[in-house]
Amino acid sequence: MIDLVELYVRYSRRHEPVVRGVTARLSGKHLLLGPNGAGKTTLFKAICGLVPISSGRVLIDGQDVKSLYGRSKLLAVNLSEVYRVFHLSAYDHLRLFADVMCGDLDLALNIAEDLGLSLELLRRRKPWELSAGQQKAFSTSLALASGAKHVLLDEPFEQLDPARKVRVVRHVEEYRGVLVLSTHETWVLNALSKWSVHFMIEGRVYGPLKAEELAHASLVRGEAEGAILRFKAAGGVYSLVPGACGEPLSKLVTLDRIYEVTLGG
Amino acid sequence: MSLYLRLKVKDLLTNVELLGWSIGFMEFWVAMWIFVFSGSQAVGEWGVYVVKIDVALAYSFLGLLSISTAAIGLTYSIFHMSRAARYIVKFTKIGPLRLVMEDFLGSLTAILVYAAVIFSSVIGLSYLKWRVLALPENPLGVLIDLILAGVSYYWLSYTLALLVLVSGRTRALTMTSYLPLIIGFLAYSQLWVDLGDLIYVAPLCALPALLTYHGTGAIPPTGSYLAWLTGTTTLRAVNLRLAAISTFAWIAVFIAASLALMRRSRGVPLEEIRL
Repeated sequence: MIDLVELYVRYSRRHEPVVRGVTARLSGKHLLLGPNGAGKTTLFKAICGLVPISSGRVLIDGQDVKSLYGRSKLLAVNLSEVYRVFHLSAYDHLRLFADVMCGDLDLALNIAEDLGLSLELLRRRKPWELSAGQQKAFSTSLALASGAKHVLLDEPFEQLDPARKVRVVRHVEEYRGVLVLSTHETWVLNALSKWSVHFMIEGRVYGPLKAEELAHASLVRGEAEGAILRFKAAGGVYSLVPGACGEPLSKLVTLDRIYEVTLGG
Repeated sequence: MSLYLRLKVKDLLTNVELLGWSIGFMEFWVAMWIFVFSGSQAVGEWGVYVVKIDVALAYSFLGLLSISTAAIGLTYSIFHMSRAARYIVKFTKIGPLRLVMEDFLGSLTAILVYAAVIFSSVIGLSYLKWRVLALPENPLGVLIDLILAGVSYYWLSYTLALLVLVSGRTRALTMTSYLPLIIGFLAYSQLWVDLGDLIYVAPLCALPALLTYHGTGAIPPTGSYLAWLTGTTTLRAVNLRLAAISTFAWIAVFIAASLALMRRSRGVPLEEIRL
């Protein structure tokens, strides 16, 4: 279980916080839905202890992330930057991380192959020589093969073709453990309808809600009656209401379109 | 040997840039030293003695330059893996101490391989030219000195990489990474310049004296090694005890600085690596 307690993250004192007072409990399967720039990746980095926490706490299984060291199988993430260590092939990196994370190398290779990364390609290219989609598939394979109790997948569908997106969905559905998947794509509400959802907009987190409930919800401006969620974006208040009485959420395609809606688009 | 350690050594010994600068480029200067800059004959006992001193100077100074060149690559590798390192020490079986130790051991192994290549080629080429097998008087001493050089340059690189990370001046990496080479050339300048007591204070400038002493068995001067070789000037002998203390003191300074900076470093995000 991951507990976030009044979490604030800012990159420097001069800048506004990227994550603003987030309090949430993440257990089971979670979607973290939000437009690009909402702070999802920064939140994941904070959970991993990769960025300085201005205030608040991140607890993983009750332990503060600041004091966690040498804990394999506790948490894995699919951020590409943490899987670049040596000037060696992607295959060597796969071997290394399967070993140090006490993961399953065969499983990592199988998932990678399933996501379009052949063994030959992995042996031939260094991680940063892979295309953006391949890099995402590479780090997702490692995270899912780690066998960690908690897995954070940051935008695992980004730059993937539809066929591979479906395969990622299958792999995350099969994963046993706490899994938090961040994305700005709303089609996942239908694909992962049993998952719970947190919304992240402009550094704030709202929720939890049920994916199947959101799949049939619509976005309207202002404080609508009977709203299942209200949030602030671009200086205004917006509501998610059940039924098709506004802009259907699952048809937005990407949550970046929230800003188009706020502009009246 | 752990997989991390094996891959670290493989990384440093297969890195084309590192090999090119630390071995390829230095081999050019080895050949120049032996075939162009050195005298052509080793006549009589005195001639052989001079050749042996000349060869010891060659592997001491060029070996150190090779190590300082490798240190540039080490600074880059430490910098680039900084974000991964933070993740590794937290969420893998490799804790902070083990990561530092394995990184250090892997780098030291690679550095010693570079130095061994330079050493062997100096010995081999000098034999080819003069038919004199100029092996060190004290091989163990030379090995220990090379290890000391490797240790000091490794921690210098670590300090510099962390300094760039903690200060947030990632664009200064290129300039900063060349400091080991600048320090290497400061030591190299002693071939012509007598730094006097400064060699005990300037970082890692006492290393050539230790290497030359163990290579030749003669106590070298505080500088102007080429004048010493030709016997044209009377020079002050180096205090070997002070030279050793100076080297150990600088190693201690670099390790202490690294550990202090390590506590404040969180690694550099990927987007800032692309300078």
